[in-house]
Amino acid sequence: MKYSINLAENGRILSVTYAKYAPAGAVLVDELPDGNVADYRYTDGKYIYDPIPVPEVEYVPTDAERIAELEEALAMLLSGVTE
Amino acid sequence: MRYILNSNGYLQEVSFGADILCDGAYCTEYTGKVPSGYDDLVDWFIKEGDKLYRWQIVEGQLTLDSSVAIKSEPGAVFAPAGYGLGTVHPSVIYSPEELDACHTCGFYCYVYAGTICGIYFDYANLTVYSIWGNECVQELRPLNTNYCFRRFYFEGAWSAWEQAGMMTQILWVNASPTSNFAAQTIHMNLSNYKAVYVQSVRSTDDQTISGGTLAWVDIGSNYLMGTTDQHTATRRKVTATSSGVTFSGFSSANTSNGASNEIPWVICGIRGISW
Repeated sequence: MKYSINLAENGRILSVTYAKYAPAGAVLVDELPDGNVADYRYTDGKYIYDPIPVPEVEYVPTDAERIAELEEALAMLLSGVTE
Repeated sequence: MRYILNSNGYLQEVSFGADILCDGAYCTEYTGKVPSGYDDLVDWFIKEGDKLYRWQIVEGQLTLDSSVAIKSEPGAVFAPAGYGLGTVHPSVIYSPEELDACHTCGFYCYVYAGTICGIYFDYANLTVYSIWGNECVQELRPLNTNYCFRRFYFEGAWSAWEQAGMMTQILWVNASPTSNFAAQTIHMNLSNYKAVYVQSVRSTDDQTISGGTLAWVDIGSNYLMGTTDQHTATRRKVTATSSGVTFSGFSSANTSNGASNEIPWVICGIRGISW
């Protein structure tokens, strides 16, 4: 066996290392799945492709964008005051 | 080189530049040729000193009897006893009790199937340095390793074995460093280590890796590994205990998948130092 896989309770692959670094009782395999190993679960000696959905992230504006937005708002306020 | 033959005509003991304690046996000065395949007699002894029982003196020449099987039991070990020291000592020490009683300056071979400072070994080169009277230093170098252990005999007692010099050892390597790395514990026995250091990498599009950070974590402590940019803080808490290294989930202010950053790549154990 070449590799050792660290599994979560639900069989999700957490990480993989080489067999020489495997702790006692580790799950040993000959091959790793292709690509991102964290997209797989290991059950009954087989890899099951089950990628974790990528969560949507709320967009956070940059400082420049926030400054520009504030400047635009200030300009609108000032134009309203002078009118 | 001088030698003693056993009752079967095979070499029992050899010595270079030293007086063999013959115990009534006949010590002979070797005047023959260097056996074929060796640079000189010392080279021959280095390679064959643990297998003297296979060698005879035939017509004044060192001759190998290849029909004699190589022994595997303790005793068939290279033992440069007495070389250059003036006195040949019993060349092989087999037990911890004999080792405790060994205060005489010289080189020995120590046969010991056990563990010292967390390192298991079968054989080690033992050097004893005399200091004053019965006080001495023993230095053990297990064969085929870079380890070195020392202890001191002072005021009638041996100190504990200590590893001489800092040693680092690779304990874990990520076999898929471009894969996401979620919160988890990497189990390993760290009871004989003072600290670990973790080198991380960053994964891009699951295909390429780039430089990460290096974290030094004392056993029993933790460290925040990563950068602290206010928008994309990429930090992962690393905790080291005697039973393994625990990595937290990824803490990030702006990331779609934090598990792709600060991916542990190599974990090394550190010992032999104090602070």
